[in-house]
Amino acid sequence: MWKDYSKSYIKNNPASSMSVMAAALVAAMFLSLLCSIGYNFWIYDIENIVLEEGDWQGRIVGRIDENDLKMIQNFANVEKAVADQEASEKEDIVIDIYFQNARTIYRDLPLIVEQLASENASIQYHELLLSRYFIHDPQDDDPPLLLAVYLGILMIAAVSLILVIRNSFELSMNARIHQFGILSSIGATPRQIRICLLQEALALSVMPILIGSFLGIVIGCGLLEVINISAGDAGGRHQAVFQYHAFLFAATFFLSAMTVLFSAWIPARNLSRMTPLEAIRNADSLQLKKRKHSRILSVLFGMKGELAGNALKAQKKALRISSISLLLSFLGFSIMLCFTTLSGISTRYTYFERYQDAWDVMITVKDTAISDFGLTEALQKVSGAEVVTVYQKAEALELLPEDWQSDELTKLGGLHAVAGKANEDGRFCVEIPIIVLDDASFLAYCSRIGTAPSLDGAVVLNQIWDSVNSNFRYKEYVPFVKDDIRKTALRNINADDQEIEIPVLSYTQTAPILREEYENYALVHFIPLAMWREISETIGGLESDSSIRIFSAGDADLADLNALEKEVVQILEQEYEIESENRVQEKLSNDSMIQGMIMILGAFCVLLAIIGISNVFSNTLGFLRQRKREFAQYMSIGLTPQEMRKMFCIEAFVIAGKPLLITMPLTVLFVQFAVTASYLDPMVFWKEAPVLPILIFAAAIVFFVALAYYIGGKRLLQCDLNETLRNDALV
Amino acid sequence: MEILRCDGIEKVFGKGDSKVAALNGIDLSVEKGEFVAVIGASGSGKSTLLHILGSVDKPTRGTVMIDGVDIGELNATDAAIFRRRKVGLVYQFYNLIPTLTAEKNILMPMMLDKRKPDQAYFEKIISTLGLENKMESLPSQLSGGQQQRVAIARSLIYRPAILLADEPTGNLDQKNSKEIIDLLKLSNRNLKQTILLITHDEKVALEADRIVTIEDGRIISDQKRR
Repeated sequence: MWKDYSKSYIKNNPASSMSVMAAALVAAMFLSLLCSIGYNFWIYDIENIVLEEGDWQGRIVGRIDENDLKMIQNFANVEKAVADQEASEKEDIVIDIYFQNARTIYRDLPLIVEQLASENASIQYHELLLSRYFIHDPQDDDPPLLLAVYLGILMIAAVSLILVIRNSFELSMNARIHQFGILSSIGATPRQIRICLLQEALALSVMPILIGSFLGIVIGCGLLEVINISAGDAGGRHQAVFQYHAFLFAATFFLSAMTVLFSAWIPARNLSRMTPLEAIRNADSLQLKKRKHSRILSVLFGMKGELAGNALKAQKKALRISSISLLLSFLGFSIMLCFTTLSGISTRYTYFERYQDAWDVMITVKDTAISDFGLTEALQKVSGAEVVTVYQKAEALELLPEDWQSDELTKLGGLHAVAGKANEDGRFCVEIPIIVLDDASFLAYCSRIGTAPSLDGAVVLNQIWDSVNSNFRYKEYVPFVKDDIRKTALRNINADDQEIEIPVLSYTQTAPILREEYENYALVHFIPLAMWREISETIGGLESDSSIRIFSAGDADLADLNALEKEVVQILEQEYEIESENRVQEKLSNDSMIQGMIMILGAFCVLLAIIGISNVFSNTLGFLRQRKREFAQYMSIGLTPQEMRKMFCIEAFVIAGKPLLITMPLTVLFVQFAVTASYLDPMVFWKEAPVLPILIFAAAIVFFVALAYYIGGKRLLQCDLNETLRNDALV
Repeated sequence: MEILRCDGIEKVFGKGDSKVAALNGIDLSVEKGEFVAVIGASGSGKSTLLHILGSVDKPTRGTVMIDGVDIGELNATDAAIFRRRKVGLVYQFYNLIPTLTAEKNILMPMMLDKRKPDQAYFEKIISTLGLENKMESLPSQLSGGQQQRVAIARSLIYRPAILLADEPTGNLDQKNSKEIIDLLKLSNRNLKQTILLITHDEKVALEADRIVTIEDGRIISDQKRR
């Protein structure tokens, strides 16, 4: 059939073939772009890991001598084994091992260690790097599903494309239902018809798939360059170099071909299932199965409204994909933008604005007690570091008698409400978060709150959240205890019998400027390092890491902070293991993360909208065949071309307007709910509401639906409807 | 030899209140080589009967045997193959593939079977139908009469057990109508082709050996003329 029927059809109907070829080209281009970008992200991720952590696959750490090293190097699957001088410490030698086949690393490395003379040798796997090569510990019940995620994204893209390009095939095939009816009536089997259609689809798509695949690679390469240029100033980022692999091209081609074939298979299957009688009669003109009323449209637009409403109901099945896609895309887009706006406001309020004047660079000094940290003075000399505060958190308990509670706390329910049941002696056990400050910072803090500077006691943050009269967004505080008690008895959180009494220099409701959130119902104690040295053995409860807050003049930009951070890191990393953060960089990373999320979700919404609009286009482009008779009949009863145009306008208005009308109230309800739940002032949201992008998205939907109807309607009204009427008996 | 046998064929369209019985117990037998005209007014059920006999539609009740095969029992694929090899269908509006030449249209049933035609038989058909010089023409380049001849040639190419013609002259002028009927008669006599012709035109029906009259989905008369 291919040779005898399809070839001549393709030759004689280039216009019909063009839409199929264009669809295949777009699908292949998109999939190729996705594959090449995915591949390059994967490679870039591996490069990043190698740059940051090295390219070793496994490590053995222990007392390893020359003989052991030779034994490791001679192990069958080992490609290379070298002593890592940088990572080695004293007697513990670190051997970096590279395997010929890393897939067996989880089996081979324990075997190697078993043969070593050293009994205490331990194994390290470069799990992050190995996982990027999809190598996971067989004992791990829950390995990272990176490959599954990649494949999932590809599958979603392929299925979305199938929905998009299926319409082109359907359109081309539906135009020939009558011919397939004839073929069927003279004995073509459903299988023969199906195969013929699939052969046609494949023949038409081979070149577009090849071209589309190349175009996808070119666009992917360009996109990577754009990313390189736009993210060039991000600190610590290495340049991405576009890479490609022949296997990737084969996979892209195969995936595109399968997508195209499946897209063609769906309408081909439906068409081959038609009985010859249905096909010859070509019963695809719009029919209503039972009488329907289009009350709203007939009230608004009279008879034309009713006719348009009935036509829409008759097309309900054909327009189902567009109705759902357009609704989901617009609803998703609106809610996503409102959500990100709300989330941005919330983050700003709770984080960036609150800490705007609190820190510029934060350093976490790993596994170091504040009492062992000796570089405070060196840091204070760094140019640009206006304030340097070194602190460490600890935790203790305090037993509070009921009569210590403040009058305000009594009114809110007293200690019962915040500390639960009293002990046998009538006292309440309250958690005491402790912040140990370096002495200079503590003295500065005392001065700031108006307390005589002294290192012989603690300052207590005497506040508790009044959750009855304020919400978490706009918190109000009341005093926790009466402020005439001058001593505090701290108890070790792990040992009941270890308790120590220290003087209270002052009660305050002003915390020192640190990047810390405090418990709502706890008495935070700020203690100078000098005093902490005296009580630390009794109290204990220290967290493992210390923190350093560095604040510059306050108007530092990214370059200033990068320079400051670099200098500080250089001083610290020689002696301590540290992690550093930079406020502006963090804000930029946070912004780009949100932008990335908006881009991904937005692209998904746009994809849905494209599916919906493509469906509208395929429907309106099929008007010439589907609705010729319907409009010829309208003409015969005296409907003018202007009135017919108006009917098209009403239909387009309903198709585009329905998702907008449903979305608007739902979005307002969502915003109302989210604003209430997050205790935000509604006006704060409405001032920043993403009205413009939502309106642009809505306008784009309306424009493309109107365009589809304009093209379909114009083609229909330009054809000779009189001729159709004369041949009415033909169909 | 009986080539076609219908027993109690009923065909009901629609459900519930909108139920319409198009055929209401048709019993019919056609012998090999007969030329039968089925006549009836519009809506009498004659086209429905032809579609059922041509296996493009299925009866609601009853059996149809063509050349010993119960066509009601065939699935879609088998029905298509049966139609290709055993039934020739001619429609009022020719139903030719517009993108294929007359020759390919005629040979299409054989090509679907990947078979080559008997060249002598093919030439006999086209010369009988007067299509020798039109084989390379597309349907759009042929007159209505010529297109109908191509359709008849296509229906005969497989030497079907029965040729079913649905108002084959309905779209033609008087001259062409006469020619087509003459050709059908010729194929009936020369090729011993069994023909069942559906028409509402009594004059056309009078050319057949036997006239079966249908009214409201029932056979109300069955007259042999010769």
